[in-house]
Amino acid sequence: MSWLLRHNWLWSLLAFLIGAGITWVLLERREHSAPAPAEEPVQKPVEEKEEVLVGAAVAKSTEEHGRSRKAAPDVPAEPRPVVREEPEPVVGAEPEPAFSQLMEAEPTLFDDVDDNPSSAGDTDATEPQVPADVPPGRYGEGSADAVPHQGPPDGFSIKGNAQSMLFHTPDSPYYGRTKPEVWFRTEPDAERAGFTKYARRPRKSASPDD
Amino acid sequence: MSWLIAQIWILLLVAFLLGSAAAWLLHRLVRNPARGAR
Repeated sequence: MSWLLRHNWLWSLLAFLIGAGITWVLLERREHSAPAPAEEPVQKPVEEKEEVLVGAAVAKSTEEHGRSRKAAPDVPAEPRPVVREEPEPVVGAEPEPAFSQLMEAEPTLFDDVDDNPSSAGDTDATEPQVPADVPPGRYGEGSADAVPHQGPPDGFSIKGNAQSMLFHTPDSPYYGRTKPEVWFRTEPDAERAGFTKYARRPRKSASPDD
Repeated sequence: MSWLIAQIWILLLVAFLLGSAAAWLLHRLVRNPARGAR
């Protein structure tokens, strides 16, 4: 081996220098592209995490994320801690396309038709009239079984999720995206049926730097 | 003969790696000596 080194010391030295040079250049470049505030991108997401909860807030946080990027344009694309989290699956609300939210959260065209019977004759063929007294659903009085792709019966505005046994009033952030399995007229009706009102639970944000 | 060539390549590779390690250590010492002194 010493013989080998003796006869090739020049090449070995060259390889040594090339390795050292390449490593040095790479280290320098990394240091220049990632300047001193290395903790900033770590801390920002932590405070953003608090406010990210639902779809709208996620969009907002991505805006802010972009703004923080603009503040430090030299920060390279290094692996960052994940900022956004999916909404809690406890609610039983799978992410759905936005259009279904609108369809379910707001009264449909046909609900308006019921209100003014003068024009009811025009649309009679397209949509059957919802009877005034809704038959009680499987959860007893005050509940109504949800019909897929159809809005709530008159006076029923609370969505119940039979899997999570939670109900969502229209002010719940998940109201729009919850696919109702049962409708309730009032909150006491839903509670009597064994459902719990959805309430936002505070989440502990895991600190990424440990 | 081929073994000799293989040996030379290994030697060059080792030299390259040693050079990288030396440069890394040196860079660390130069840039932030506090961490290097630990």
